[in-house]
Amino acid sequence: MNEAILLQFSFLLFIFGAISALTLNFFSKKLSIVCSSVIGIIGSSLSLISSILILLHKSKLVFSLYFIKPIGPLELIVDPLAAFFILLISMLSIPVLIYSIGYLQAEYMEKNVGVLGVLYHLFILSMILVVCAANAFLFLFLWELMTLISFVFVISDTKSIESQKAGFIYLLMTHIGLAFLLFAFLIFAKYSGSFSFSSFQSVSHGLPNNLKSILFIFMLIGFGTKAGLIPLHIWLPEAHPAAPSHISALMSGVMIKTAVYGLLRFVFDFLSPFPYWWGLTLAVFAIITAMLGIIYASLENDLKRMLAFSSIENMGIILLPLGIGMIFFAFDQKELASLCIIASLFHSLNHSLFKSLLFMCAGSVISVTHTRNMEKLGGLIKLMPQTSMFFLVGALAISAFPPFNGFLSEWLIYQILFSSFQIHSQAVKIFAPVCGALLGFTGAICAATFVKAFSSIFSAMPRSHQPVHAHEVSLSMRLGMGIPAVFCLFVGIAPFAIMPLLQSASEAVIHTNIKSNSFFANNLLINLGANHFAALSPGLIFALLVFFFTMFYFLCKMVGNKMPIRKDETWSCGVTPKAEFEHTPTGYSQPFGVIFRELYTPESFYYKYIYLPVVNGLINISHRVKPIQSGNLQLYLAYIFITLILCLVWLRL
Amino acid sequence: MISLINNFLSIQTIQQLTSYIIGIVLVISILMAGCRRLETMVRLFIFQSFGLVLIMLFAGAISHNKDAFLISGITFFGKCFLIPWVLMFVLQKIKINREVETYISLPTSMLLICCLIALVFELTTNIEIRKEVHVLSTNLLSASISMILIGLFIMMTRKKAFVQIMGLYVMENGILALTVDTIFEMPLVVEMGIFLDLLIGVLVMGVWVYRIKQSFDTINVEELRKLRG
Amino acid sequence: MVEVMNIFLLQTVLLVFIQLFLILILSPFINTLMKKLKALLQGRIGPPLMQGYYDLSKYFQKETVVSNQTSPIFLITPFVVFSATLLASLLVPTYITITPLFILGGIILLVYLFGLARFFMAQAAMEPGSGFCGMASSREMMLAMLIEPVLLLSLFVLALMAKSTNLPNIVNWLSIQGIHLFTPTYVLAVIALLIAGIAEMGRVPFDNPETHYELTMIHEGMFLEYSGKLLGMMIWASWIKQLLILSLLANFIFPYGYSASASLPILFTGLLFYFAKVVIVCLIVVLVETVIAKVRLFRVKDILIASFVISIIALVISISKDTGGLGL
Repeated sequence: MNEAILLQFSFLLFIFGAISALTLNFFSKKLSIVCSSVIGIIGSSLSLISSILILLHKSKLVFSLYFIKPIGPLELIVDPLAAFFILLISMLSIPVLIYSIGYLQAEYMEKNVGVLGVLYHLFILSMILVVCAANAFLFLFLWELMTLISFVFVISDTKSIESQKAGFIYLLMTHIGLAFLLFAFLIFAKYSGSFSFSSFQSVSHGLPNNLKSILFIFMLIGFGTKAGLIPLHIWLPEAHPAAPSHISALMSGVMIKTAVYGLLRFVFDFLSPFPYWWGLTLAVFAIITAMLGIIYASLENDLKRMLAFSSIENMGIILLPLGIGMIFFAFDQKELASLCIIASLFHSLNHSLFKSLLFMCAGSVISVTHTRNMEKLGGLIKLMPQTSMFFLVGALAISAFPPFNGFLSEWLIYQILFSSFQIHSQAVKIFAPVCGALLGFTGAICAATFVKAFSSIFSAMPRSHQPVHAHEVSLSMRLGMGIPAVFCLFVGIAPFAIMPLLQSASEAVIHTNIKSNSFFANNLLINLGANHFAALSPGLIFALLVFFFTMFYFLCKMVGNKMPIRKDETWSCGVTPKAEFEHTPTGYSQPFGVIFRELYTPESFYYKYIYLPVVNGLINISHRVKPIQSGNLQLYLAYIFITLILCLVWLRL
Repeated sequence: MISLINNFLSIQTIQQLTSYIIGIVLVISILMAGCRRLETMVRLFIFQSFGLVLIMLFAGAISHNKDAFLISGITFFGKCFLIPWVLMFVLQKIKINREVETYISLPTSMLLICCLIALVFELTTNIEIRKEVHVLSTNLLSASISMILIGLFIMMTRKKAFVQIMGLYVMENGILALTVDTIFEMPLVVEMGIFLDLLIGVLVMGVWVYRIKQSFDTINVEELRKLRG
Repeated sequence: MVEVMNIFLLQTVLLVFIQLFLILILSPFINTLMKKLKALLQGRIGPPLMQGYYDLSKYFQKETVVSNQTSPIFLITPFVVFSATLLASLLVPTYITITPLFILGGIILLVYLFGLARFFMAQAAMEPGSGFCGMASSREMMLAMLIEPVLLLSLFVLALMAKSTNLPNIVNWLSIQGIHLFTPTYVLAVIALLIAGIAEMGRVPFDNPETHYELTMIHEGMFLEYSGKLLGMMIWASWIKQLLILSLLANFIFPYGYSASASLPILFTGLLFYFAKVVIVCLIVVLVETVIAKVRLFRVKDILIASFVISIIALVISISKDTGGLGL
């Protein structure tokens, strides 16, 4: 079993990387950064290769750790679904590690980089292990570990009160989510008598239906908190910007995807069969999340907050096909359901690529200008040409424009929304096309948001003194941004390289394989009965675009007047143009603000109408209970004492 | 080791011996509850732990369970040397060696504890645990539950933070006795976990007691009431 | 087998070239035609019918001046816009029910190619740092987010009728329905599509292509800093886009009279039919322009939401017809 050995080696390398980061830090900070990153890169590459092998062979690895009686076997199981998420994590961690070599040297030299390195490696390891865990106890432990490490990153800027506050909200929200997960697992464990996932799976048919629905809602809240599902999203726009940028890239790119893994694993494996309204619920929340997330992003002037809101939107887009897939699954349309899961996983992959790219670009911009406010930036395209190109690629990919990867996954999502006509439910038949239209709506807002971001950061003239002395970032940072940028294009042109992996992962969830005549990866051809036919050939699109572009470019150079282009100043009614004349980001988004007046609910809305009532209720209850709490330690002990005695008496009776 | 013990002692002898030791351990618990000097309390704790270590060895010998030797070794090292040493160290630091006022006068509490033990023995005799568990003595289960309750009782009636820690250790010894009682059921890891917990606990509590002493100039836990909102 | 493939390939290449040629040549003419029709309706003489070509040749002879604030993105934008629009033209059926490359993509690709062009246009408008261009860019993006859902939903409804998102399949399905085509769903969807199409073309009542006052320009406002060949490319691209939407509307409103085979006379009649259909749609659009005044920018939302609602009603009716529910 080569995969197993590779994977174990990569685990060891991550631990080794953590140790080396800490120990070498005593000698030289630079050495510590470089060494631990290189070790991490090797480790990630090993786990990447191993995960690809697992996906291709459709194999299933089992690592048994220990057997503890009440908890059940502590096992790590790597099936294709888990392997896909390992692929996601390790694929991203390589460029991010390369990026971090330069980024940490530019930004964090005065901080304790050793500890950052240790946490980084443990963060990746915990994420990889979370998706492998095959025991509820282990899963929750690692889930918590992942959360806590990212929490440390969020509060790593110890001087800023804002990041402390962000850390608090993050910790609070994720623990509310954790509480729901814990509760769901305990209910499972009560019925199955063990914490191992295999026992959960076997008990799923025996659960009463109402209980299953309650479990699903708990899972939805638990994982929805991590995924940033509105209205549980309030931590995300606070926490993601507060972390160092390469960590933001990982948090937005990968960590929130573990929620997708959780939903896939638990809903399809442990709770099936289920009624279709579950999927509808998820899809409704997902489309609301996508819409509101991007509306908030479009009105945001803080670069990293804008990206965080856009992550919320993309999580909505990822969860939407998942919800639709659940509907298909409930109606026993297995082929369509697995297509939905492919779409969902595909968009997860794409989102990790372009969102981490964008966060890394944001990190580069912030590291040379020291501001996140887009109002104060501008004109960087001349000073940082490569970074701006990478940002442009990311912006095009996230806005889902044709030659890039985002378009393909959104196209698949449109197709599955469209396929809803094969379902005998009027609600779904109306809901799905409207969802498609709203997806187009979010796509258009997304494009507007990123035009605004790109133009206000990189175009025209600098609007403050901060971007004036900016310079291109170091080679490792550019390399770190370049790899995902190239992949964005590559996946967009040649999805057939990815499709087998996605299919293998979706087969692990829904045990059906898509008939070869209904779905071809090379050209993305869907032919699903009932005269339903759709085709897309990304390679041809790219080739034709490039062909037209070069043809007309050179035609234009040759035909007519030669093209020595004269440069002159911008026309501004006869006055010398100044940076003040530019359309600012705030001005750019003003029309959006006007048309979304009804939809734009500021953050305080959620606090005021959702969180504060809950908090106030809790405070009221605690005031009621207060008389029992005398504050006297002995009295508390007396409570326990009396309870114990009563228990004994009760046992006797 | 197993054969060594088995060669020298027959099973009947071991059972008799265990009964005696259980009695002694219980008496020590009562004495601890009635003890005024803190140092004496720590010494009594050492004896109690040693008694338990012996019980565990016998249990291991009878059941041929190798884990039992490991646990007894760790317990012997930890509870007869390490923890008492830390506790003594803390005692020297805080320079308090007597407890003057308690909620219930010490003789009364000793009497109450006797009643408690009687009650527990009455209540627990019929608890159904599978046969092979009672290899040593039928009283072990009752004794261990009594010890847990005595520990709780000590924590309940005393005011000094240090004594609270001692109460906790008595409780833990009770749990340990319970472990012996269910030696075929409780896995090693759980026992190790509890032990680790205690080890960390003693360190934290040492610091804690010291800090309370520093800030309130007393180690009466009553002062903690001020923290209440 | 190889021979068959070769013939197929040859046919495809031929169709591609005919399509591109047709769209490239026809688009300036149709734009001028609309101007002429409008002028005639308003009692003016209007420009000569060849004015579009004159304009283009003029643009290509002019010197190209660009702002010194701009980056290479500004220079490549006209070509990106042009190629994206041209690629879109391969997706739209014109005189024949199949498109040259049926495998390329469907309505979603069409909408997103327009989006790609718009992204670059809006970005290029921000490059010179001019206040007017920036405002136009921001307004264009705002309009786009209102238009896109309406366009997609109305196309979706039509696609759902034909059960395919490929335009040739949809048009083919529509053309074989005969008299049964005119269901309430179809009529409502076409009305919604007409509204979305007019908005996407950037015509009255949403935007006025003939205005020359910076503060009111939306689509044209983005080209303010362009000149010479670059401006020519940009304007030609928007004419092509206009023609594409007009052909789409024409083929959806009158799904008849396509060339059935590749023989020359039949192709010729197909082309004639196509031209006639486009002219009729032009007349409709121009009539709307003459009758209705341009609405305030933020009132555009109301019209487009109304159109969205029409599409939803079309959807609901189509579903109730399928399942016999709802009783509409």
